[in-house]
Amino acid sequence: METLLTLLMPILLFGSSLLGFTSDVPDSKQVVADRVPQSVELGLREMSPNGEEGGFAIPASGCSSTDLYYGDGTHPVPNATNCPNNIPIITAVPAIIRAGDSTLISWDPKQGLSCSLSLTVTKLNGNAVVNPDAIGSSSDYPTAQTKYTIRCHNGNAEAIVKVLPVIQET
Amino acid sequence: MKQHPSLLTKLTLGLLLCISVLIFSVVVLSKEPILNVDGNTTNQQKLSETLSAKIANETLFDTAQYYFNQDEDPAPPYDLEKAEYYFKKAIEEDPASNPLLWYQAGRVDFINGNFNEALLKFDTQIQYFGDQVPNVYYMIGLTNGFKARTTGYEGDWKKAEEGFQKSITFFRGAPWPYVDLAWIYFSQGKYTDMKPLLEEAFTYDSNNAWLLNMYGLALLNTGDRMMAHEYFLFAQEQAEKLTVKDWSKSYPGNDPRLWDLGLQEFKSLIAKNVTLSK
Repeated sequence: METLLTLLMPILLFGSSLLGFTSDVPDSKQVVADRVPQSVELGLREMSPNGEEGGFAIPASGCSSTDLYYGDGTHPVPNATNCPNNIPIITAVPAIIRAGDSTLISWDPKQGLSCSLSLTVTKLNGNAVVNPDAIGSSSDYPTAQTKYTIRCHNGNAEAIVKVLPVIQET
Repeated sequence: MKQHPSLLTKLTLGLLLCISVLIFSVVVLSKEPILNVDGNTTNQQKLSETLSAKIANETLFDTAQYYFNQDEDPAPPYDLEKAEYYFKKAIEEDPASNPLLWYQAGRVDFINGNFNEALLKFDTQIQYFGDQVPNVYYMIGLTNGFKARTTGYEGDWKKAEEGFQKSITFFRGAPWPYVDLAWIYFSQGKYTDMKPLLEEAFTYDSNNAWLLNMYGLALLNTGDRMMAHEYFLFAQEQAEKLTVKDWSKSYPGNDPRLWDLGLQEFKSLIAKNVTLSK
């Protein structure tokens, strides 16, 4: 009997090892059951060195993806990353002004993506006509919150300007 | 006198060996990684999936990407451990087999908080492929930034700054390197450096919630509390418009099951700043 057990033991151990106890391929079901995978990017609140009164910051990681970088999975496609997006841009700087102040509206239809024909820029200089076919800019003096929109075949974009009331000195 | 095994013992051993071979065959098949993803699928479905994968002749890199590269797709299978495993195997097989190999493997290390390993891989990426995947400079900035939070070393902060500054030259027009460089300045108390940087970023994206929040922080810490409050309120408005999909694009590589949590964290952080600046 002892001889039989001695002979069986290596076989049983071999069998149990085959059942996965020594495999280095991680088992998803076990991972899910044991813990929820975490990320260093979650739960971060960077406090100002000035203390809590200085507020909290949080970084992002929007340029880390390369999903669109390799169009066919093999060859690099310059400027095809999602960072930046190849969609029209419109900006208003500054984005918060006081009534009577100006803001600079700039737009870029991203030439070369056959989008200029459908492009419009609204509410600029009291609906003045602007040339949407190329990169451009124009100052505006909105008196209330205003949204500027650029429309293009490859997407739309908008810029909002918030207008604060003028502080009256007493 | 030496005893010889009986016939019964020999037959038993033979039977056990046969059973072992059978178990071996079944277990080897069931150890295909694709089979472990969904516990609800039937064995037949699993076998079919395995065969499909084999027909497609996936490389180890492809398999790693399958588990990691979720990006905008919230559906399974996201599995960081398996991604790490297959990236490692792919590197062992051929370290120059794909221009994204070291970069992606480093991203997994970063998400896991293994900053030194990540930085080593990013350096190797550059050694093999130069600037072919310029996103690597962005990740060098990000990883050094997170590392500097734990080490506090000036050299790590400096490397983070340099990484983001270099990525700005590649991705001019994207708000993210600006957001993160502003975070590096903020973390070091360099509030006056934040303002011109963010004002440049606004010329590319004037309504980005992250940029607006950062600008509010720059103003708050340089004495303009009232205007800081306005920027936080504007950031809050813009953050309310964000969807879970928007958040996933801003934090690719994270577990899709945590996307919603991340978005809620971001919104609550801005709300905190709004309250603090009143």
